[in-house]
Parts: sequence; structure tokens; C-alpha cells
Amino acid sequence: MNTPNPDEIPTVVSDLTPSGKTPLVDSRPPAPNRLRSSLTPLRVVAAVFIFVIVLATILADWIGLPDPVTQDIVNKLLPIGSPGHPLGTDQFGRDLLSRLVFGARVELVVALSATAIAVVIGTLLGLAGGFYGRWVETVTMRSVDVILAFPPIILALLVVTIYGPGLITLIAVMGLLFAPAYARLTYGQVVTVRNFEYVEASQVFGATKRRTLLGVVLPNVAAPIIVQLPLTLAGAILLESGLSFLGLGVVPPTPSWGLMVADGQRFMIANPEQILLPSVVIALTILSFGLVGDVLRDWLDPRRAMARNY
Amino acid sequence: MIRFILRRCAIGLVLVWIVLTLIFLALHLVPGDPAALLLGGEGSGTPTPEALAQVRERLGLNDPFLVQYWNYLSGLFQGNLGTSFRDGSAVAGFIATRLPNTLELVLVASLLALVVGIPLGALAARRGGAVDTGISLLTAIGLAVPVYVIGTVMVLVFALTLRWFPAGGYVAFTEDPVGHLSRLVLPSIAIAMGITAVLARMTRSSVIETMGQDWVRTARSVGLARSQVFQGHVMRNSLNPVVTSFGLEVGALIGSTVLIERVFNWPGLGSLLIDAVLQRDYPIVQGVVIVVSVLFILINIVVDVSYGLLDPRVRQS
Amino acid sequence: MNRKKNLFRTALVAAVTAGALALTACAGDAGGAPATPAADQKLTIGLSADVADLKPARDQGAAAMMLDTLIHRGLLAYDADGEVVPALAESFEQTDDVTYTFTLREGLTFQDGTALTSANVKSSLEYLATPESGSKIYSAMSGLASVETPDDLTVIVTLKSKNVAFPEYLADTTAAILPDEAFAAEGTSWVGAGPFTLESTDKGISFTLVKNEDFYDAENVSLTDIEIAIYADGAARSNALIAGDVDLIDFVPWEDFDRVESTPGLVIDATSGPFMYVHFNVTDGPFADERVRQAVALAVNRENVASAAFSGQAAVIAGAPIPESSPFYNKELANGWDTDIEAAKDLLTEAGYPEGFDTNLLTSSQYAFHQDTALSVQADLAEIGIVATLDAPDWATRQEKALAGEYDLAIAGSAGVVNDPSFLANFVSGPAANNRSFGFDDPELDTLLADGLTAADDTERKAVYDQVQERILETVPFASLVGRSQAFGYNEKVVGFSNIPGFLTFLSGYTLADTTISGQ
Repeated sequence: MNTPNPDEIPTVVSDLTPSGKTPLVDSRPPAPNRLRSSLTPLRVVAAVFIFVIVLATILADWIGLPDPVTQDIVNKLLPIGSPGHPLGTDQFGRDLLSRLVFGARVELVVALSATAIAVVIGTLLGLAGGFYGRWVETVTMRSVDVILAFPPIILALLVVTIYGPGLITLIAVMGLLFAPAYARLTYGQVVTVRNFEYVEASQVFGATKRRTLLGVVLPNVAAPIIVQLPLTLAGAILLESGLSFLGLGVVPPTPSWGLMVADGQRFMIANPEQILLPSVVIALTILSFGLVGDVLRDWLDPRRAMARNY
Repeated sequence: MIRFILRRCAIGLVLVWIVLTLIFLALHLVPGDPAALLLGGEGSGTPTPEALAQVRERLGLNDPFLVQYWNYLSGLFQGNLGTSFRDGSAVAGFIATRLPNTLELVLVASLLALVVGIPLGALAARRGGAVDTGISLLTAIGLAVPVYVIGTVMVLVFALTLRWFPAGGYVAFTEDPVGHLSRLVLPSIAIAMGITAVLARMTRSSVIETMGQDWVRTARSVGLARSQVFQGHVMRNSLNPVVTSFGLEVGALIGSTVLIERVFNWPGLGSLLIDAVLQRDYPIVQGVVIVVSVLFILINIVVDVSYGLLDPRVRQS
Repeated sequence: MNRKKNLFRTALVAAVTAGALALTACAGDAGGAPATPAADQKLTIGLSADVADLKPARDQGAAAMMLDTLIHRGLLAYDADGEVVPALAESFEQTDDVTYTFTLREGLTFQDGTALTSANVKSSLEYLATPESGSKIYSAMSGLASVETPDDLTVIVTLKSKNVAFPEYLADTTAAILPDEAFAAEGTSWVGAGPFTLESTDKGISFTLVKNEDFYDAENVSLTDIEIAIYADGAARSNALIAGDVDLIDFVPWEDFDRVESTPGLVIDATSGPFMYVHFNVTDGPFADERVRQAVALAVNRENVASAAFSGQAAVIAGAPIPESSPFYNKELANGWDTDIEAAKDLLTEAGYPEGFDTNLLTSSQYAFHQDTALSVQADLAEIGIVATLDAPDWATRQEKALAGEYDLAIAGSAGVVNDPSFLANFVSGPAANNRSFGFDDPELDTLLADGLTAADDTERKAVYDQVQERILETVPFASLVGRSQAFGYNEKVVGFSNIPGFLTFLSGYTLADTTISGQ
């Protein structure tokens, strides 16, 4: 598709202030300070939040949380603030705080794996398409188009129905769904670069086409990819929770935030915290990833930096 | 321009054909026997092998794979989307009933988003300061909260607690206009939130970027009023990427109303698809996927075309 | 909005009733019935599932059965207590062990006006006996030897062997007498001889029925119109009842029982219906040993299952699932599988698995109660060292896997076709099925069940079924868990409707022929 990526709107001057007043000189700070200037208080909070979540999932086994899977039906649906269960329990008597923390582990594992697969597959497809041109290009980039022509939930629905729900299927399907973004990024870079004169120039000096392109392309594409990563992570968490909500994601009793929302639906009226707690956590996590993404974008790829939001 | 459109349509057709073939393959790989599902009810008895065989024969499931595929394709060329396994009625009929429901949701949500999102974004760009931060925070929430969570919480608050709206379901407009509209409100708003957020952000960045450009200052220096400059020139130029985002969002919506339809019991295409997959009603699954892919590709073509219309510079490429 | 409509309707009804009462008083009628019928005898039902197409003979699920009880009648039917009563047949007589003679009422017609004679009975019964029909009651009908029709009103049915429960199968909705068109290749059964005729349908949304004035008992049918709206989502269905949008709903979700019950003016009518159980793959592996199966039956905490999966709205079943109301219920044998963790562990050790073992448990993510039952059982099994991993595909896949024996343990929920304990045969013998243990074969149990069908009298039957229950406790063809509460919720003014006990709960629509909308 020829439609340009909305993120790629060229900005004349990067450091636009929200009021629209623009300085006449390029006041873009030199590189080392760009990181500092791209951090705002809220973004710092977001980064800390993510750090805390990651820390919690790593240390989950050692911080004295009750087992998220052990049932205690006698104590089911306890309210927030019950002794021994600061956030209450679910309909099986399982501690909600514990399920949220261990659920975070599942979310992160799934999101990271899916993103890794997406980056690898996507980059490979984009590189291949860009390098070899002709029919390779057609096959790879049209495959990307086919994936994009499918509404994502439907693709996930079909794949999971065929192979059965489970972590492996989930990660594979999500990797496939998020690959096109990276394929296009990489492809775009390669296409832009392959016509540069200095590529021809370095070829005259004897460097192989492949080495030249790799040497030029990869550093250039690294930045946009890093910027895209948190967005993919957030998207993966969103998709996983949606699929679990439909019963196609993680298999219980493994905790997952999406599953908790789905289960909580049935008890909405009498026990709203069942659905509100995981919802809030999902929202905060996605929000934080988005903010961290903004930081990385402003820092690494100021050309594409959008007017800073907050 | 015409050549451009034709070329895109041709590519689109090929894509649809690939999608269709993949779906056909996928369905025949999926475990689960449509005949067994048709014959098994509350599960108090198991159908005899003879009964199963007869049903499978009737559904054409015993034909070799390629024969089934060919039959399906030739049916498509004649405009026949097949018949449902469940009751033998035309797939096209099912889709014709459910598609308008989904489109209605999508349209209303899109309109809401346009009407609310663009001015919001423009406002944030013009005013700056606290207004800007406030709006940006709202949009961030709209983007971060999953749509089914928004939907479920809305049901909890507005339907079950405040009792302002029904909790879900569907009533035909012709039968009960007020009832129909009251059931439309919550799901459309839930969907609209995400799009509004995207549009607002897009508008905001785009407007800021445009306002920073030289020609804007030139227009101001020539004496045009601030608002004139804004409405006449800035907005028009800023709309390009906004339109692109909007098109992409709406396109993506067509297939993903599934979650909202589930939460609100809205009988749209998404829930038809999920039910059909669960019941292994192959013809309906195939039909819905085709329709959705075609729509999706069409919308993308429209977006590309309008992109060209709004910005003459693009048409050259 | 709907409250206002309700209010207006109630006011109108009250006014008319007051007038009617006044008139009655003037006429000096000694009315003994406390419930005076309303002027508007229209019932609105919120049904839990759509019925795409009514096909003859097949088991199409509870929603289809509701429609069947309204549109169709067979030779026999059930009353509110679950007793077999004559329907299209005026009377029947069992002339010997294998022969039944039915006498049809005079002047019977189908809803399209065509006459209903013994010829129709013959074609209906014979269709049900063919294996290709996929008939739900095939297990009983396959025993059909012949159907003779000496005249238009007489039908003589002869079986191959004695089956004491045969009339009960004839009272099922799938034994309805249908016009010949229904048995054609793609035939549907929307036309029958029941109390209500299908007038129109809005696909996927609603069905409209009107009273069949040609019904043989039409003068005793009070309802004039029935409007059925589809509410697939449980919460939406409950909300519709509470809001007054509908008068009656089926399948009240278990988590909504309290909410519906505590709403003034509403009634919950519940019975222990289908039962949940665990079935096994006994062809190889640990579960081939009956001691391991017994261990499973003893390890499960059934109260937990009831609490977790059914919000407490389920009855513990710790033996063969014979309902308490049945004359064949045996109190001692009914608790043979009461939870006993120590005994379970001992059995495992005896069978050679002192440390337990790993296995898998088949369920489905499509139904929350199914998966929650599995989760509860999984936790209980972990206590005795059996580590079960859940396999939770969608329902279609679950059915296929279960049929093919691709599981070690599986959760199932099922009902008998009839309340008579002969239903047990379905769960312990026959060709592979998706709701019974794979590879299970117990000739002794089969003989006992066959004896039950041919027993001379009730005392002998009771003795046989006691032995059946003992045998089941021993060989564990399945491990019962709980009987889930199957409830209808309805407005107090719906009088005469009743939830028929046990597995017949799905046939409760039969009582709608005796239902009236009360004026107060």
C-alpha cells in the first residue's frame, strides 16, 4: 500500500511547543541531552511502573504471595481488604493480588515472545523483499498484505480453533499478526537506501551489495524498530486479553488478566472489583508502554517525533 | 487516477482470493465435525453412524477436498455464497441481515469520533497548556483501555446501576425506534472512545506541525485573521494524516466489533462469525470472511484515493 | 419505558378484572379458584437459544424442545409431576409384555388442516426406528418390531423384547406424530398437532405462536398467544425478566438465582436436572484400573464443584445419578462416593501409584460452568497426587476428541432422555460416544440393566436397580459430581406452569397448555 505511515510526517522543527509558537532557529538539543529532554514527569512514572511490574514478575515466587492457583472455595469472593487477601479473592477463593502479579508474568512472557517473533519474521521479510526485488519482493510484501487484509481477531480465532488454545499457539499467532509492521519498516528503509549513490560508490570499492546494504540499512532501521517495540508489546497485551476474554487465549488455571476480566463479567453486579481490578491494571500497563514508547521515539528518532503530548 | 484505482482493485481481488483459499483450507483442518454438531443436542444420546453419514453426504462433506473447493469457487462466480449447514438457508441472507447491524455500529461510532475527536485535537493544539494536558490524558486512557473493558464497565455503570439504558440486545428500528436507539448508544460510545482518542491525537500533532510551517506565518504576516488562517488553511492541510488514520481505524473496526458485539449482545457480523466458527458452519464462516476482507480492502482503497484527492502532490506518484 | 407499559397494562387488566369480578358476583357464580384470569392471555418467553430449524426426531437441544412442547404432541405426554399421560391417544393398553394398543381420539388434525390418523402414527414411529434418522430415542425405538394399523384410530405397537420404560420414551417430544412432509429428505417439523401453532418468526430474534383452536383439548388451553424472544446471553435474559420485558425465562443463570428470587413478583422454579460427571479413557493407562477410577470418585469435593461452578445452585450426587424423587432411589447407595481423601490415596497406592501420576482433563472453554467444574476437579485431584493438565478447546473440538477417545479424563454434563433408571444404559454401554467412558465394557452391568427393562414388577425392578447402583459404585463407568439446578424464572401471574422434575425439566413446556395469566 502506498499510504504513508502517519508516524512518518516530516516535522520541520522537532522541538515544537504545544502552543504552536515556533522558534526561528533549530533549537534541537545535541544528542546526549535529547534523552533528558524527552523525559517528562509522567513518562518517568510510567517507566518506573513498568520497571516495578517487571521486577514483581521476576521476584513473584519470593515475595510471599499465596499460590495463584490453589483453590479455597470456602473463602470465595472475599472483598478488598480482607485479612490475608489485600485485594480479595475470586470465585475459586484464589488471591486476586497474587493472580494479578503472576498474571503479569504470563502477559509479559507472551508479549515479549510474540514481539520477538514479530521483529525477527518481519525484519527478515522486509530485508528479503527489499534486497532481492522482483518475485521475492512480490511474495514477501504481498504476504504481508494478506496478513493485513485479515481482521486480526478473526485470524487469531481461526488459528486457535485449529490448534487449540495454549501459550505456543497464542504466541505464534500474535507474532504473525505483528510482523507486518516491522516488515514494512525494514522494507521501506531498504528501498530508500538501495538507490543512494554512496551504495554504488562503495560497490565500486569492492564491497558486496549485501554487506553494503546491511551496513547501511541496519543501523538506520534499528531506531524505528526500537521505537515500535513498546507499541507492539502493548498491542500484544491488548490482543491476548481480548482473546482470553473470548476463551481463546491462556488456558486456566494459569492466571491471565484477560481471563480475569472475562470471569469477572459474570459477577459484575455483586462483585465489581473482580472486573475492575484487572481492567485498571491492563489499562495502566498499556498506558505505560505507550509513554515509554514516546520517550524512545523522542530520544532516538527525533525526525519522527510528534509534538510532545505531556 | 482511474488507472490507480483499477490497479488497486485488481490487487484487492487477488488478495481476497488468497484470503478465501486460506480460510477454506483452515476450515478443513479444524477439528470438529459439523454433522456431529448438528445431530447432537443436550447430549443425551449419540447419533448413529448412519445418521451422521447421511448428514455429511447432504452437506457435501464427503466429496474430495478439491471438488468441494471447486464447487465453492464456481458458486462464488455466480454470486452464490452457499447455504448454511444449520438450516440450509442462504449465507447471503444471514449476512444481509447482520451486516447492516455492524455497519450501523461502525458508522455511528465513526461519526461520533469525527465530531468529537477532531475538534478536541484542534482545541488541544490551539490552546496548549492545561487544556492540552487534560485532553491528552483523556485520549491516553481512551487508547489504553481495551474496548471490551470499556464496554463491560459501561454496562455495569449505565445499564445495571443507573438503569439509564438497556444492558444489551437488539430491537429492529421499524418495530421500536426508541428501543433500538437506546440499545445503540452504549456500544457505539464504547467503540467511539478508541477512535476518538486516535483522531484527537492525530489532529493535534498534525495541526501543530502545520502551524509551525513557514507559509502559515506568511499568511499571518499578510494580515489574515488568526481564525481565518486556522480554519481555512491549517485545518485543511492538517487533515491528510487524520484521514489516513481514520480510514485505517474504521477498516480495522469492521472485523473487530466482535468483542463489543459479545458484550452487548448486538447481532452483528462479528458474533455471526464467532457462532459459525464454534458450530463449524463452514459456509457462513467463509462468507463472512470474504465480506469482511472485501470491505477492509475497499476501505483502504478509498483512503488511498481520498489521500490523493486531498493532497494533489501525492497524485503524481 | 417498559415499566410504564407494564404499569398501564396492569391497570387495564385490573380494571377489566374488577369488571369481570363484578359480573361474576352478579351471576352468583361460586368461584372457588383464587386466581382470576386476566383478559389478555398472552405470554412472553425469553428463550436461551435460537432454533434455526426444527427437524424431526433429532436431539436439537433445550430451546428446540421448548418449541416442540408447544407445536407438537405425540401419542403420550407428561404432566406436571412427570407422569405419563395420554395425549393424541385417548387411551392405551398393554396387552402383553411386548404389545401396546393405542386408541386415537376422533377428529384429530394437524395445524395445516390435514387429518391425523393411525397411518401418520405408523410413519412417525417407523421413522424414529431407522438408524439414519438420528433419533434421540433410538435406543428405545430400535426395539420396535412392528406397527399395525387395523383402522384409522387404532395402532398396535409390538416390540422385539420387553421394555418397561417404553411409554416414557413415547412421551418425549421427539416421539411427536408428524405429517408426512416432515420425513422428506430435507424435511422440517414446524407443523404438528400440538396446542400452539407457529404463526411467524423473525430469524434469530423471535417466534410468534397462537393457540391452535383445532387442538383436541383446545377448550382447556387458556393462553391465546405466545411470543418467544431469543436471549442467548444469561445476564441479558435475567435482566429482561426482572425488567418485565418477558414473563418467563428458561435456564436462569446460576449466579442470578438470588437476584431473580429477591425481586418482588418473581418466582424461581428449580429442579435438579442434568448431572455433571467425569468419564474416563479405560483402554490403557492408569484409568484402566477400576481402583484408580474409584480413587477419583472419592477424591472429588462435590460441594466445591457446586459452589465454584454453579454458585451453590447444584445438588451433590455421590453415587449413581438416580433422582431422589424416583421410586428407585436408594439412600445408602446414593452416598457411596462421599469424599474420602485417605481412602482415595490408599486405593491409588494399592493400584501401584503411591506418588500419583500426570494426566490430562478434557473440558471446553466455551462454557464457563464446564470449565469451572474441571478446574475444581483438577484442584481436588492434585490433593491425591494426580496432576491433571486442562485441555479446553471449543465445544465442537471437545466433542470430537471425546468421541475419538483423545483424553484421559473428561468432564461431561448430560441428562437422561427419561427419568426411568433405564437411562443409565446410555452411559455405560454401546458404541463409542462423546459423553461416556471410552472403551468401557461391563457385561455384568449390561445384563443387570437388561434385566431392569424386563423385570416382572416394581419390587423386582427395585432389586435389580439396587444391584445396578452397587455395580456402578464398584466399576465406576463414570464418576458423578453434581446435579445442576435447572430453573425457570417467571412472573407470579403465570399460573399453572411447572418445572417437571428431573431430566424432564426440558419438557416443562408441556405444562404451558394448562397455564393461565392471572389477573392479580
